[in-house]
Amino acid sequence: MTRRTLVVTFTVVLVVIGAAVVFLLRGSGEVTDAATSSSTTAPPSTSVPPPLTKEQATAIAANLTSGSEERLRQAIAISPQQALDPAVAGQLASISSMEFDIATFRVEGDGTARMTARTNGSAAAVWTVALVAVDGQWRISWTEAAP
Amino acid sequence: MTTRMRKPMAYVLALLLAVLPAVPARAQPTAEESCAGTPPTLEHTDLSASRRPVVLVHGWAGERMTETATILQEKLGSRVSTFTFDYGPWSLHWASNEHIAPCLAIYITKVAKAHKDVRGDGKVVVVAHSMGGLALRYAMSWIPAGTVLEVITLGTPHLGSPWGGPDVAPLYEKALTLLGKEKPPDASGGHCLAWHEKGAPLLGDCGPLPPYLPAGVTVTQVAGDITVDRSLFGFTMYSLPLSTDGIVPVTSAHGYATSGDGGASPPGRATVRSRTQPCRADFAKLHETAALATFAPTVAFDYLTMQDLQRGSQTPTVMGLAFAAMFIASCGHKKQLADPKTTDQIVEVIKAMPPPFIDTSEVRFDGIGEFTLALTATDLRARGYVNKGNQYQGQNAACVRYAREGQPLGFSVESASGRVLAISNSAGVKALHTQVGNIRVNSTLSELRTAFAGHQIEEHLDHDFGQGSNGVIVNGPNGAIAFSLADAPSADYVSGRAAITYLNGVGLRGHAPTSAEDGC
Repeated sequence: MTRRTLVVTFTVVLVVIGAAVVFLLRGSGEVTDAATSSSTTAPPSTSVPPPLTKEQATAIAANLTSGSEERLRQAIAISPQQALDPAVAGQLASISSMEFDIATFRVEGDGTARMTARTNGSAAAVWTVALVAVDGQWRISWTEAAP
Repeated sequence: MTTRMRKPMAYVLALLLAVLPAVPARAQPTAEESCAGTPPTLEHTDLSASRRPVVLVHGWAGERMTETATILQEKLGSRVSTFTFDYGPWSLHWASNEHIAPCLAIYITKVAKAHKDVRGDGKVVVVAHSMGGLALRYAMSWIPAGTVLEVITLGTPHLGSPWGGPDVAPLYEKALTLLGKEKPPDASGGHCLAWHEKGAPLLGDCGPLPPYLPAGVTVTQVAGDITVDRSLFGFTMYSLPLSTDGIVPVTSAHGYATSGDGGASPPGRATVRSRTQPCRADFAKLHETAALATFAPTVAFDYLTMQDLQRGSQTPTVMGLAFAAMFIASCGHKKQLADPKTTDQIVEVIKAMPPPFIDTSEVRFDGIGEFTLALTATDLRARGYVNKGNQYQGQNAACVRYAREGQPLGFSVESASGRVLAISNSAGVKALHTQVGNIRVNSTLSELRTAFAGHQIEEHLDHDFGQGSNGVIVNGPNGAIAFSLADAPSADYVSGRAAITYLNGVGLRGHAPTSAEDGC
């Protein structure tokens, strides 16, 4: 890594932290108001739960592929106010099999976790799955096709 | 203040008001006086009359826009010549700074002059990224009217940026000074890029708002607009429009019309058009970058960001997401400079413009239209002209003729040196006219004598202009123009009534093409 890259990376981190600190500490203005109003729907607890069990993974897969938006929301980390694409629950239900590889589950330093998953059917692929802890439960944050 | 004091103060005020109009207004310093350091020089040139000069101006903390220039050159070919203005060392300074706006004015003026020097119309297109667009607005007061034809702003923060102002940007600027950027004054670029609504003044020490552009200029403002898609196993759960390129919100990039004094562009000024280049960023990729940058716990980031985005609030987490998006999304503030779709927007605007006006019929002492006697055989070959040899000695003759299928002008070239000796009107184009005096077919000898009074005029009126004809050669400072005359009674030559029948062409002294010789 060159000196330039190091300095730029450091600067980016510094700037964003600075932005966060400045905006959060400001006593007035739109940003603070918005930040305050954000807290009206407080984020859930982020304490790290124990590693995912096979049963929990099966339950998550079942909720994801249930075709029900209500059950889908139980499997993913998402703001309650965020509307979902009406088609997504049905699309996920078209996945004929979804298997989480518990052996690959690992907790990251920031309290999130990663594992791999394999799907068949309309979205056949191997995936990297990111999970976050929401009220003591692992929920899916995002998925990305594995390289 | 007591009543006793008020009266003398009123007198003083009245006196001042009476005197002030008598004090002559201080003239604005010239761009040369205002540009600090060495005035910028042009870096190349493949410029010709038929190529539109395009000046690219980078933004705050940026560098020369060579990548964009290369892309435009590839996409537009011989339609344009690109020039990249660089104020890199001072790019943390505010747009109106003495190292930026006045120097940009000099640079654009030089480009325009270079275009005129090759017989172009001297009109320039400016493509400005980010703060470069504001630098141009400040620079325009020094640029001669009519020089800038089209301005394309790309992510220019006409209304500022949420990242600008005294809090965040100066931290970044301090770090960049370690990399060799000149330390900006307190009123730095980042400081002065604070958000400002509809005609509200800039921060106190940043000076006046960027002026509106004059009539005759068309402003096309292009904004990058990132949408974040969150998907699960390849299926989109929802999309979040960020309405920003990560640094400049769409409202600001499209905010030219309300960004100057009074909050509204006065009537009769530049025409404004807006374009948006949308692009999408995948949440999975974005998420990691943003979480890394903000150190926000992932789940809190999810929840807070979603809610804030729905409210349209510029909270730190939203800004973190937008900032991360800038590095991933193709229309992000930095990536847009090389984004094929964004650069296509620029290309479309330039392609829609009329090509530079070239008077191909204008005859000067040093050439005809865009062709000059300074050309060489190499230049002619590059333009598709081929060696046709001469009648007696073929292509190895000491002086040969270059011509191109379908083109009316022929060139006599000295084989040893490759220099052009003469340009002849081989096809007998009747529309040719002289730059001096507008002498053309059917003008009279008298009109020619008047137009070129003061020049040496060789009159061949004794059937000695070749093939028994009569004609005239006018010698100028850097070449000669030859004209054929109608066969007429000698009295008509004396009186000047004899008419010009043909403009033979131009040549170096002693090489003007006559009815018998083509200049060799």
